[in-house]
Amino acid sequence: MYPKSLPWYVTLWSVVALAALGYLLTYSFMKLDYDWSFGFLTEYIWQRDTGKPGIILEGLWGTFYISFLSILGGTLLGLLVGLMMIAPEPIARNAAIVFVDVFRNTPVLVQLYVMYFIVGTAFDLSPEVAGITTLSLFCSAYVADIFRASVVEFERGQLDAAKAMGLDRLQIAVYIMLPQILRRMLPALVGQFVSLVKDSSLVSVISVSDLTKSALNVVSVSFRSFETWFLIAVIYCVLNYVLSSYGRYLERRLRVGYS
Amino acid sequence: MTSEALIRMHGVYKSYKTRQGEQTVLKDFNLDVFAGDRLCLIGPSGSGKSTCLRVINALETITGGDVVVCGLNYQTAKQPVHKIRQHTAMVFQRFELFPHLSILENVALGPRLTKGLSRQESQERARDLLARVGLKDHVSKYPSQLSGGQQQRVSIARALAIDPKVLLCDEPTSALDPELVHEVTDILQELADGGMTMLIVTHEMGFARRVSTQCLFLEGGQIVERADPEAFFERPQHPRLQQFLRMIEH
Repeated sequence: MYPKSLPWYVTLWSVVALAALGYLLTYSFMKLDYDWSFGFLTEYIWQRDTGKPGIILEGLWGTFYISFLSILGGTLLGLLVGLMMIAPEPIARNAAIVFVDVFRNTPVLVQLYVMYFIVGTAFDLSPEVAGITTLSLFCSAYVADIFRASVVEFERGQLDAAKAMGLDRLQIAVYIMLPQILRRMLPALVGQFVSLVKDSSLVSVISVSDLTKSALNVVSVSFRSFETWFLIAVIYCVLNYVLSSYGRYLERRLRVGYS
Repeated sequence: MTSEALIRMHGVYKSYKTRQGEQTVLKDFNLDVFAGDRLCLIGPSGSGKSTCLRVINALETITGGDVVVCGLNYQTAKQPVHKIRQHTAMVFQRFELFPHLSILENVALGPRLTKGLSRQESQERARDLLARVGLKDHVSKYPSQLSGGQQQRVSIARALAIDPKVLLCDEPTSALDPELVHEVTDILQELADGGMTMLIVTHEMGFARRVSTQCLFLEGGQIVERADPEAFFERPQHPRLQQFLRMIEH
């Protein structure tokens, strides 16, 4: 048995709420006069006659590498911007703050348009490069602020102890702060990465062939948008589930020494 | 070098800017510490005891005067601050162990990074020191798994690991449960008997009396009385010290 900590009506409420939601969905689906058929999708996942991956699988690869490179670029750039945000030098600090504010407070969609149609035209960027660059910049703004917050709240006492030991600034950063800051950043970072994988669907508007773009293509020939989008949602869900599970695993592994 | 003071504080001023204005914590503070000295700093809160220790370790920047550690003046020495700090070590009121490192690594990290010892050498040294403070069975534990008294003993081992000329202890027993205080004071007493030069801020009067060669009473950022422990506690001269001792006796 589990320990009872909340009053009974909280349990009742959550069960009622879940049941209501389930009923609502079931009822709506029943009302819908639609002939469900998922079978046709297999051909778009894997082409049996040619033995090649279908457009959905190709789209998955697109989403995968675009998200991966954007997360990588966003993290590296984010740490750099985060360092600038805590710099005592006012110009660098304020520049970093403006950067973070601009990229966090404007829609990614608009950022993508600007990067591809304006910057991309001037510098002849491919849609993929424009997409990855925009998502990296967008991601880095969040990473920077997550980094800044965890550095700022680092305990002064530990820093004093490290200084009193005679460690220099780099040693304090590498051996004392970094391992602890990484661990504290992890939950927020994973949340940000999961959300970036979903946001990467927006690159389809500048015709990068990702999962969402492939779904649009499938819908345009099959006219079966419900089935297609459900499948796409499931794929995004699995992708992100793997990502966040790995994050939880890392978190557990880094929890040594904390009760 | 034997007659040279290990620590020399001369005309030190330290003030903080607060919303009410400037608050002076050390006012023309002078103190020489020679090898073998064991000085206990005693005084009401806000008298500058902790600040005095933190200034010696350059954890606080001073507003005026000179702090010289082993012949090196923080203001004028060519060496970077962290090099000068390596001559002293500090034990903090709230232990300040590194939670992400095992206690073995807590102790081994200092000598490895500041003295260039190998991983194995530094861990051997850490093992010896942890055995000395009675924790040889706990080396692979993490700080959060230890009691307060054990954590403070680790932090003493960590301080000793860098082989300091002077050990600075900032209220080493104030955060401990009363029944754990002796764990820590016993070890500090042992160190004192071994001839370690120490500066101890403490509220444990019995301990101060036993461990020190001299006791210092601080008031308003200055040393107002300095005497050997017997005279300090039996025949206090300064009225403020007499009052202070009466207060804590009852």
